Amino acid sequence: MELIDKLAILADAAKYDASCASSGSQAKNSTKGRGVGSTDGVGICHSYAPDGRCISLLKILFTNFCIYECSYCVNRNSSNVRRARFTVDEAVNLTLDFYKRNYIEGLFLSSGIIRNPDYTMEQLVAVARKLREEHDFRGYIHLKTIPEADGELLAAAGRYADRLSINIELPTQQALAELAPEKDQRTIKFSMARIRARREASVADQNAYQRQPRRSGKGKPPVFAPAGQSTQIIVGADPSTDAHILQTSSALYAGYALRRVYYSAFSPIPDASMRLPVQQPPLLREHRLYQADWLMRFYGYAANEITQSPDPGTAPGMLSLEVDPKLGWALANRGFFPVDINRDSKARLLRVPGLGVRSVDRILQIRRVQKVRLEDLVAMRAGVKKAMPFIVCANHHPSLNELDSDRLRARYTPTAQQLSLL
Amino acid sequence: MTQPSLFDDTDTDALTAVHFHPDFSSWQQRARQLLMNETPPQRVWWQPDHTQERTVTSSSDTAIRVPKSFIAQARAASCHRSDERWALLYHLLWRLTHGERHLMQLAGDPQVAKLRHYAKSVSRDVHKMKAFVRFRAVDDADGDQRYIAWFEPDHFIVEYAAPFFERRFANMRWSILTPDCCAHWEGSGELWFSEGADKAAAPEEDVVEDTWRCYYRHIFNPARVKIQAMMAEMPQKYWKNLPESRLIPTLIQEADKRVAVMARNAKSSERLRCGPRPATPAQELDEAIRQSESGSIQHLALAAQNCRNCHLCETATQVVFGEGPVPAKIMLIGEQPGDSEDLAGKPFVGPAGELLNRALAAAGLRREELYLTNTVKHFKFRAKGRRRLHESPHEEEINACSPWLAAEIEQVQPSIIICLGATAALAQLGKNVRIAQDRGKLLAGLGRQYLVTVHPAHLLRSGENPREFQRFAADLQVAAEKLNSLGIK
Repeated sequence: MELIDKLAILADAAKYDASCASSGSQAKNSTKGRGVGSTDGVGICHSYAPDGRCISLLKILFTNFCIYECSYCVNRNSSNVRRARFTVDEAVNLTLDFYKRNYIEGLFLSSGIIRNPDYTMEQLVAVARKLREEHDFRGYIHLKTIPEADGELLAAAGRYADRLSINIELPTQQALAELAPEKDQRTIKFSMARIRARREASVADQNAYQRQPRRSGKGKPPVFAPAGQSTQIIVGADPSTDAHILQTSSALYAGYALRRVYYSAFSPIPDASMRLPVQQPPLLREHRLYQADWLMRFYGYAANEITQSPDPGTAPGMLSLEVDPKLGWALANRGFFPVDINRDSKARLLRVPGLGVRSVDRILQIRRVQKVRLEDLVAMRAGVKKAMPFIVCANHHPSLNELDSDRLRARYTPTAQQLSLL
Repeated sequence: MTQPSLFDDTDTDALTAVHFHPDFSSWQQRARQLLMNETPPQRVWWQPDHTQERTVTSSSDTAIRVPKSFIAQARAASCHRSDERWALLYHLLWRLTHGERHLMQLAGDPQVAKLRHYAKSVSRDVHKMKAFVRFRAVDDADGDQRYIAWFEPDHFIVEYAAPFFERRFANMRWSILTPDCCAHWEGSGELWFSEGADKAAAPEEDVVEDTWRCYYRHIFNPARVKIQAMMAEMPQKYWKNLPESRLIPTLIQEADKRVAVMARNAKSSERLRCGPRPATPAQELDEAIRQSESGSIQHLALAAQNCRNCHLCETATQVVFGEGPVPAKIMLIGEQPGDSEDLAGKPFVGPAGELLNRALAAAGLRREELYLTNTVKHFKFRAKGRRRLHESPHEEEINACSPWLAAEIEQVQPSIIICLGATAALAQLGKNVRIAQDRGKLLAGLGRQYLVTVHPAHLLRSGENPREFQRFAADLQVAAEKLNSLGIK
């Protein structure tokens, strides 16, 4: 099979993984090296496909042969798709050819399970090892980790990769048992725990090294998977609610120091299994989950706060598709407002719809020098119109009527379609 | 901050025309001189002039102090295409050094906002350049490869952005050609720059582009077309220099049809195509349970992994079963595994376990001779950001877990059970026992003796008071002495 045919098959096989981040790693470049590559913590999206997803990494499977039978997966054992397998050199050379032309930030390599988990993991590690050791590649590498694989292979993977990931796939053990019987939430979580432990140990080693008065010997010990670990949850393939999903991700963030949880709306695939729902979940649901995820990570919301007071017309445990979760919380907790822009704590400011983390930081900076006025918010391009009913500041006091009014919600939702006369 | 007009009432004699090469460090040098002469911004007429020499000043030759954030933003804003930028920068510099030291903190100030806007436009442009430059490889006269790109930035960013490409492609020889300025790197030495070039000077193809287009075509998911999202991040103005963009119209056009075909060809059979499926983890566990000796502690530990008696299994990593010799004279029962135990799968390995080890040693007990376990076998916590905060188990959870503990006691047959903390004491002895009044006393129970004391985590929370530690060790010692007196040791 020609290389280009393999690429077609193995990119097709890889596209259902939403992660494409190339950010958050430690700084490295090729100035004193032999090869190419750099990372400086900021991800770069080199292209965008018409599905709106960024293309940052060469995202491929090593092979799409797979002995597992996960109903939602295009590569499952019984799927009638074409199969292919790269050689280590092919995967390495593709990465380098693309990288040198500035098409990509690096490689995201995953694989179907062939023979057994250890054998599969060995192939992934071999590609990363060759890139790093033979070609001195200093770009970004994201390796998918096979949860059942041996600890030594995991150690090697973390040495070569910037990021490791293990997909939890479905929010509950029960859903996993039904749709992906070869996978097991305990093994997955256990493996995430192993990654967290190794990463923490390597960071401790590095800190100990930094504290040494004379840094002699072998030099700085490497950080294990410097860009941390991430995971993905498929949305809409099982009946779990958004509350379930967010509960799961918040436990994962807290338990295994995950950098990111990706949400991937289950998408129609060629040769789909009959065990799957016929209907694709709305892409907006996926978007709302990302917004809620942001609220948990940067705005101090707990998972259950976000879903506990459903918006009118929304099923229990689900996020509203009409209003975003931050606005939804504000509308359901009007007693919390108004927030005083000039006096209230950062935590309270962060709950104002329309104010992002950056705007809140700027407000706090201005506050140190002078009173914040509405014009300041306009000039810093905060979402003033959205925030107005929820804030007071030097020259703005919303009428209390407005905040209590049922019509407040209507202001934020698209107007119902007007009827017209025939 | 517009330039003063020559045609209004401004006193033109009072204007200072500053001719300078339009780059940041030349501006910096002239701005310093003007500032030294106390020339206010209204009197300065900035005249960018490419024929002027570039000037470079070392930062130490002046005592003008401005915030770092100003320098960083000013440097970026100086690459903006707007003619007003130099006057704006000097205006801000003037205000910063004339009584408005905190100016940069006032995000709402119109000039500060404008500076930020300029800097942001430039940094976005730089970011897009890093993203959308596409090199094409050519063999030069010596047979070496050179990578050449054609790019059209919005602003004057080539020199500002070039060091990024130097760091990334340090061992390649490359050129980035743009209409305003071209950057070159020879694989070593210094970056060098030349005047703007014509698109015709760049190569027209690269064989790898077919492979790249193949990747682009196949990484696209036709079932989720989101054209706006693509356009927002990859505006059409960049398309003409992107080899993959020619595929976009067809991909969009064919998407619906491809989805329809997928729906039509829905699954017919579940015939395996990649060989036999492996045993599932659930089957493997069941098999291991079957293989183990019924009723043995190993059997219990395996069977507990399947426990779904309460909801704690959903969030915890794993069951943390008891550990130690069977039978054992002394059994220690804690509350539940904590963060470290949950990750390691073993009881008392975290900070509280470490404290317990010290207290056991002080009491003359050897940990490896004891059986250690918990009342509840799964970690109960509340997720708070990146941390898991311990939560005490409720009665339902304690009850759900009690069959496992009862079975452990049945196997271990201890003479003495030490309850660490209120949860364990409640579960073993009921509500009448209070730690504060009953600690360190041997209490008679069903066929064995009990001793209650605090949980080591309690000592950690109260700041590891040495007296409290002594008291804890002394409680444990009561059990050690009882064993000796029974002569069983």
